[in-house]
Amino acid sequence: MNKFTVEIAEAAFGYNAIPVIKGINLIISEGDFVGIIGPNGCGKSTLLKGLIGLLKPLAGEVRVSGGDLRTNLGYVPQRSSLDIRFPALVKDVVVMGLYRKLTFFERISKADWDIVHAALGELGIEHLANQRVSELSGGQFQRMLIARALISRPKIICLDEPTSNIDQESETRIFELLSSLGPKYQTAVVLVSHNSNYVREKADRIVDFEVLKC
Amino acid sequence: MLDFLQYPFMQRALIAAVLTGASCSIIGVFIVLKGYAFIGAGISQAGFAGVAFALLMGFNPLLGAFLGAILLVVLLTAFKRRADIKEDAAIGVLFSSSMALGVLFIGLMKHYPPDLLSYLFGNLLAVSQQTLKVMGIVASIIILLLIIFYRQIQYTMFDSESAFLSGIPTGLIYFAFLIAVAVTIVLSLQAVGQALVLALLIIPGTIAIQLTKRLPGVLILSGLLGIFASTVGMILSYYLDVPSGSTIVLVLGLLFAIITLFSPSRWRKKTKNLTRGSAL
Repeated sequence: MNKFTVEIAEAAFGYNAIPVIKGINLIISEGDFVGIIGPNGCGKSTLLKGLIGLLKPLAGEVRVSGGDLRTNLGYVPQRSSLDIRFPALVKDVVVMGLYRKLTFFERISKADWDIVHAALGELGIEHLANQRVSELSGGQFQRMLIARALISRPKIICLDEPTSNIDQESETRIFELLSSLGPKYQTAVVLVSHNSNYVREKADRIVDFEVLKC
Repeated sequence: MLDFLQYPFMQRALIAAVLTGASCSIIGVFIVLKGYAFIGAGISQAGFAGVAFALLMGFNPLLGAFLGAILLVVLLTAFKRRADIKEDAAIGVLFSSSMALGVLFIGLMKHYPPDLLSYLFGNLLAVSQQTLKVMGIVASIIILLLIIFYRQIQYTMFDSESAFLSGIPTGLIYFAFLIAVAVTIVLSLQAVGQALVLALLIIPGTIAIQLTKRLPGVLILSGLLGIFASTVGMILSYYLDVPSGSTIVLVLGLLFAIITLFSPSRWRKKTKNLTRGSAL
């Protein structure tokens, strides 16, 4: 079976037909750790959104081989894009990662909840399963989102600034966790981060918008 | 105490209060969660402009309200898709334009029809049997759709990007949500009025979010609060001989003040404690 690969070829991405980034070439395969770094406003998140299909390429293309992108994708959005006061428990959010596998009239089964608890256990937050989302610290919130992204066993997991607005100790622990994802889950990790030191140390490949002169 | 129920018009008013309270407060939970209060205000304003237009042209005011509200939703969606402007700016333009149109249509009338005031401030006693049937059908459809598409709606409301990546048609859900808000507001105009419908959309959901942990609980509690306030408000308005719409809103306002000021603030305290620490 072909290795799962996403290839961006000479692509441009932007908003309202105006490109923010262009001429991007990138190949990501299972097991890769790709870091996207650079100053604020350069297009790091735009590239990530283009990679995962939230933005269509304005030029060039995104090719996927070895499987469908959406069924093999785990996504961790920026915390600031979510409503942290949403009335939901941690387990309610993590089970959302299984929704795509449920048929229209299929209910969430006990087996699904077992998978949720197992995923929370793997991330070390099983004790928070019945905690309200609004009661979580920044680090706990990110672990919850990572658990949701991993629950469907994706071949690529994309994280958009998972350590923004959290304290340094939590950031270190999140980075330790991210470093273990690739080997543990045989998944590619694509990380957008403002912390270029960590990314330079850990990533196999780096897209540096400082170098690209955004 | 319930002797007023011997009159058919009061029975209709009570049913209208229950239906309006339930439908507004359930759909209002999502308005509160997404911070769409201004959209609700814009839709009710456009609905009222539609009423004024219908009264000017001599057709059914409810149809006019419906056309006005739907037009606003369609324009809002089109502006959002085609132009690089913020949603609240777009709704601000549509809100003020709707208000201007409403004033213009009223100014063109040779005399003020009595119906106009009931759409502005609400009059539960004026709700007809036919309107009541439509309200019942619409409220049932909205609740049924909410149950059937609960998972998709919940995911979209919490995290629309991830929901979209999961194959959920988030654009369609957003549009359908706005249509549901528009229809609910239009059908509530006669009962509570354009000026007061926003309170019935916002207050029960705001109270329920403070008291319950999960979305299904919030929806049920909000619906019950809406029904309770509408019923109590209507009964009080009958015995005190005051307008029903404003009494309902004042009951809700009182509930909100009591619960917000005197409820056990365990959620807020826990949140503060946890965010202070770095506990992972």
